Amino acid sequence: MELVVAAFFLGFFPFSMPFMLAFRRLPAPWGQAAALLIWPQVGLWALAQAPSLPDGFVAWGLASALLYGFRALTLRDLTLWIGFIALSSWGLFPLLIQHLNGPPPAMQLLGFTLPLVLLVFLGDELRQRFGAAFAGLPGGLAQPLPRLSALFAVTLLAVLATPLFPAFFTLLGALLGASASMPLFTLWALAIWLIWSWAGARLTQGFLIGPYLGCASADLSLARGWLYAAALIGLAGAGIAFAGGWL
Amino acid sequence: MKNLKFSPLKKLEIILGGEHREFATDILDRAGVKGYTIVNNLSGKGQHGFHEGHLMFNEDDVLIMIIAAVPEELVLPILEGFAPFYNEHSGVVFISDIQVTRLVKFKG
Amino acid sequence: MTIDLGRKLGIRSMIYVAGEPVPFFWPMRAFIHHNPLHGLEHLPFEQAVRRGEDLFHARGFLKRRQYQDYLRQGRVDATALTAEISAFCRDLPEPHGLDWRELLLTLVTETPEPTTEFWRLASAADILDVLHGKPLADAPGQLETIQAELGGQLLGDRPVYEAVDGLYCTRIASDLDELVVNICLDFFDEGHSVWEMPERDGGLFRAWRSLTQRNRWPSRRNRRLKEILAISDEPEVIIAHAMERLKVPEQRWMGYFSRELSRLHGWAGFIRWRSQAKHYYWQRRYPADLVDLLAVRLTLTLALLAEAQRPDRACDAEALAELIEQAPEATYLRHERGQGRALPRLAQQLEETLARGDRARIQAFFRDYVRAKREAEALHIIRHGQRLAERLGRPDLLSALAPGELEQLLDGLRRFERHEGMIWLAAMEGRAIDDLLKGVRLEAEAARPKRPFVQALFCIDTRSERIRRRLEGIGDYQTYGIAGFFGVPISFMELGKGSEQHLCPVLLTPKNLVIEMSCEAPPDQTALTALEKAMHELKESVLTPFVTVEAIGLLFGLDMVGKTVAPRGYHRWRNRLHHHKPLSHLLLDKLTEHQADSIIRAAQRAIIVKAVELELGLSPEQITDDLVRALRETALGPKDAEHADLSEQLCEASRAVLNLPDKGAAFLKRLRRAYRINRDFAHRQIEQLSRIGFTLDEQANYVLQALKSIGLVRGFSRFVLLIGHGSASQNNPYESALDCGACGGAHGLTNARVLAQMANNPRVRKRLQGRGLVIADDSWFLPAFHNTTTDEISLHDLERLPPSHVIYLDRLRSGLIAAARLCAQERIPTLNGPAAAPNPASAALTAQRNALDWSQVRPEWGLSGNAYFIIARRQLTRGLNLEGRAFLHSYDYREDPKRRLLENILTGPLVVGQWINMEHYFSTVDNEAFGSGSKVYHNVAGNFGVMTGNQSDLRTGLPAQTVLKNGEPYHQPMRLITLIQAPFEHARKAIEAVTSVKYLVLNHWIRILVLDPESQRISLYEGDEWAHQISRGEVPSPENRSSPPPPGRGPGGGSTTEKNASP
Repeated sequence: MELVVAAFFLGFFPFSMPFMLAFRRLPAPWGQAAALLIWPQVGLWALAQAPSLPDGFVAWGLASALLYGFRALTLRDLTLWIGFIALSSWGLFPLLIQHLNGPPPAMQLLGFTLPLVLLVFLGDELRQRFGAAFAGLPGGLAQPLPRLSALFAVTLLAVLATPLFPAFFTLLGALLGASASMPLFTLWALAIWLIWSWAGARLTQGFLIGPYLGCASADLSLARGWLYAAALIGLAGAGIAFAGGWL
Repeated sequence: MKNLKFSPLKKLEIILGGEHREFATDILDRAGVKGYTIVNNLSGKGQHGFHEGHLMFNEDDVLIMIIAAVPEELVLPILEGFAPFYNEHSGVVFISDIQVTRLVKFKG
Repeated sequence: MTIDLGRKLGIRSMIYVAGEPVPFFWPMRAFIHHNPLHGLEHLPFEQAVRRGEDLFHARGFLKRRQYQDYLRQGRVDATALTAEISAFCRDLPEPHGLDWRELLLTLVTETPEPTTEFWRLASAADILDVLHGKPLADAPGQLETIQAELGGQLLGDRPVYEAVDGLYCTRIASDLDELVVNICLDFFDEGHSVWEMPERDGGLFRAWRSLTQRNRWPSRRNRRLKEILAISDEPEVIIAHAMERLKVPEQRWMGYFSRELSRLHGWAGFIRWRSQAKHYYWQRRYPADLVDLLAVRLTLTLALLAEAQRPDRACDAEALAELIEQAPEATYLRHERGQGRALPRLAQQLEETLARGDRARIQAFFRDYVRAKREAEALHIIRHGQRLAERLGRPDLLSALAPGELEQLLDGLRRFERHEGMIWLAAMEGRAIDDLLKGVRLEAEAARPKRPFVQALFCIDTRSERIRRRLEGIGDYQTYGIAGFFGVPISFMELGKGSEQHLCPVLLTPKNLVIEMSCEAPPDQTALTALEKAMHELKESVLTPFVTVEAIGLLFGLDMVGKTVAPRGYHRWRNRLHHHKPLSHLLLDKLTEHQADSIIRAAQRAIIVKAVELELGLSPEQITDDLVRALRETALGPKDAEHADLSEQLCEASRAVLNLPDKGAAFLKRLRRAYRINRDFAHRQIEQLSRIGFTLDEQANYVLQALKSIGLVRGFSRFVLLIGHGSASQNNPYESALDCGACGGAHGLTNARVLAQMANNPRVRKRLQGRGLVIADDSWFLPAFHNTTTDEISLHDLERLPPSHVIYLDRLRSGLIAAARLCAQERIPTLNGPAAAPNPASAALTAQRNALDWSQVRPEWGLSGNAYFIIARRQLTRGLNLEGRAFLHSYDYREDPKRRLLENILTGPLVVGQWINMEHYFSTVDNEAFGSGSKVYHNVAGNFGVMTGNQSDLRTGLPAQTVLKNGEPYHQPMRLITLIQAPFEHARKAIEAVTSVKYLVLNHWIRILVLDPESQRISLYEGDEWAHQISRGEVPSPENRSSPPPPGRGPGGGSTTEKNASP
């Protein structure tokens, strides 16, 4: 029973629909940020209540993660992309939870959600300027909006679990632990991780690279820029702190 | 006078700007024309002022004339070949009836 | 399948005409600056630019923001700007209470972005509705307008696959381009690659066809290609077939071809050049022309379109037209998505609706979408309009207007913004003309007490302007400007090279050959030089990387480190290892028959000796002179010669060789055939040798012409320097672009040496005396070389200097060094920043480093900044700091009563100057489309061009580093401002006599001014007539014209009515 609840709130296929519907409709950015933070916590709590996690359940999670990862590859709308990547990362939770050590799992897994929340806020900045955050409309933001683009790029790196950011250490630790007992699942998880990078690269290409064909827009103000940068630095700091802890 | 055999042919006098000479001789070569004569450094006078690209002669421009004697069946293809060119450029093609004695030089 | 001959020829002709707008691409070994819109020069400038923008998807003018920067810097004349705007406003309907002039001026100077750029759908009524907060109603006839626009965008001249890409987000166009580029790289390889494409001598299409037909890779694309190629092996047939399959109506074929060819206009331009360069070796061996290219492209198009074919997709012209007719809403939405200008807010919904494909849903969404788009556009315009109104000081402007008036206002704005570029251009040029006229000296030259110390003839290149000024400033030097090839077109065979190089403008073909001969004995190949050669060859071999990296890789590393860390010192050390070029002489005089004969005889003897050594195995001592002579005479003799006695001699010569008569006969045959010791070939060799050199009369003519054209006919000083120029840079595919354009992209030293040798020849001087030109006996013509990267001037052929002049060399040398340093000091701050040149000596060092640094992407600015072409005596511009922006050609009208020399200057140097100017103009305004992008990404392709990345179109034009600085224009894009110092009628008649220049003037490709030295009157060709001013400093302005200039006209009999302008 708890497993079903967990599956629902972690967005396993086909339970992603309610979440995505809600996510799209929620007001940005606070509503969406809240959804991202709160929704999986219910699932995690359910997981914690479950007596054991059968392999089939983990496989279900991984399969959904792969599916959503692929889905994210073709998405150009940032909101949808965030949603699907979130779902994809939640699909990994059953696998990760079994092999985590160090700080409490809920906190560690926040490392996946927090960068996405940051991305939601950056997406909102884009929405204010252009009406929606859609890759290619207009593309090539690197030149006219350098600050925003830089923060976007770094946040994306955080989302993709690159080193220094906590998600990387979480994944690394968990997968190293899992490699002995569940080698197939480990490989599967690695493939999902790669697909995220691919999706991230496509997103960067769509948003940041190329000639800019729109009209003049104001870049991020210095104050705001520092705010986002501080958040990122905080995240990175947390990552290093955790890493020093248990790796 | 010995028995000279006269054979009828058509003469084409193709007048166009000197810079298109390669193009014109290429067309004639591909049509199978065996030989031609090129007269250089002609000049001519136009009738009116210029319209965009549709005019007969330029004033003081350097023109060339290519004279070729071709069998009748080649006349239409060659004219068809030059038609798109003359839509955009100045010049003209004159066709007349001539006779030659050594047909083998021009045909076959 | 076959088509009739007439159709085939017609298609050829169509493609020829369709290819004319695509500019030629010369191989970069001899870079030629040319006008990228040269094929459109028959149109007036503005029209040509617009057509160019259309064809090449480019911008023809700078962005408004950049012009505003120029205005702030003072490079745009504000009064001229206002005047141009007034001229434009003259026939605009004026809405109530609105001053067009003020509005447009504010628009242009204070708003950074164009207002009407994104305006497509919204009507004036919509804008008013949004302004007053009312919801938008559905506009009547909207669907029809959209259908019409779609028709224009998707049908028309646009290639079918572009439309398909736009609708269905396929990538056919880029795939097609990639495939074609690969094919071109394979076919046009000029001996660079080790594995060559087979069967290239059949032409581009046939070679590719046979390769494709043998391709056994089992893909559907290959199968389709083979199907199509099986139809015929003639490109015209394939083209006709493909166009019919694509269902494009025949009257649109030519426009279609034009678009196709302009897609990869670099490669198309190269093929176009190559197909008419009959003397190009590679074209003779492996011919290719545009018809082949189009056949390849169309075949691939069909195959790729077939791949993208789905049941619901329109993949040919007819289907597209049907689609627009029957499902305009869906087509419009797809088109919006494909163009990348969908409304972001509705973009995701757009994708989802199209994916569902439900027609009712699409139509409903279409209505919502169009309404939202109109609203967004209206908001955008209102925002801009409000800002403009505030700047004008009338914030209520928009709301106070009636709908009809708003429409007039917006229409006028739209028209203005399309014409804006020309207005800015004219204003910029006005300021440039003003600056020039303010600085010229109108007073007559003072009489000279004695002749100058040195008279120096420089090329008209803009880089000479600086050093001429400096040289004149440090002593009694008189400088002149002459075309860089000094009026002597030669075909040059350098010492040690086997091919000829044409040292003259590309418009000419040289008739005389000049050979360089060494004065020294051939040096021994030192061990180091041999190693050098071996190492270089190793780099080219395929297996090398695997084998030699460990072995000798370190040596290359040394090279790289040396070049990077200490370029000057390392290069000095390296140069010591190379063997130096020996002192050489130029063979200029015609060979006598006897000489020619001797040369041929000697060559034949040498070949025979080598042949006997190789084929008969005799050692050098055994080969006697008699034997060689006998062989030679027999080989040259009639075909059925006696070889009985020959065999005897052979027998005597070698004991080991069997003296069968056959051996002798076979050997003679080989001598005749393979070694070409035969009569016919000897005749041809004599003919070729007769091309060498100039007759005495020719030499006298060239010297006379050169000196008269610059007006130097008396008062010759002791030294007359002929200074050719060239540049020095490392690792630079564009190094030829920095050399002398008048010498066909090479340096000008050879021409200087040739003219100097001619002018120093006493027999030539005697002839000149007879023609009225007396050169003083102690006058010596000395060739020199101006290195434009380091500004050093080095003297050459000093061993020929008469002893009497040697004592003055010191003074000359120090003068040249001083001038060079001062020039470097002036120039280096523009290049490396102000801090790099605190004093002349360090500036000179920095300049030298620029020439040797292989990481330097900008060794010098080259011709960037060129703006003026001045045909006048030097007195006019003496002392005026033109900042290296002027082509200066010396000319004295008093020596040229028949105007022949002026016509020569107009037809040659001026046309070349215009090409250079236009090349810089277009590379500056749109570097990605007309220029070649950043040098950092360039890769040399096949030895003749560059590509961006590892595979792309051949980049034409100039790189970003040459014309831009930090992303902003460094070269100021303007048309060439030509000033002729001559009586007005004299100049006008000369212009009329040279057809090409006449049309350049009539179609406004150049700006032309005539300064009459006798009446001090300045005439400017503006609009379509000459406007005269008596006093200088008041350039005729457009307001003073009696009527507005007609919108655009072709060349015609330009009236030159005199017009009195109001002061």
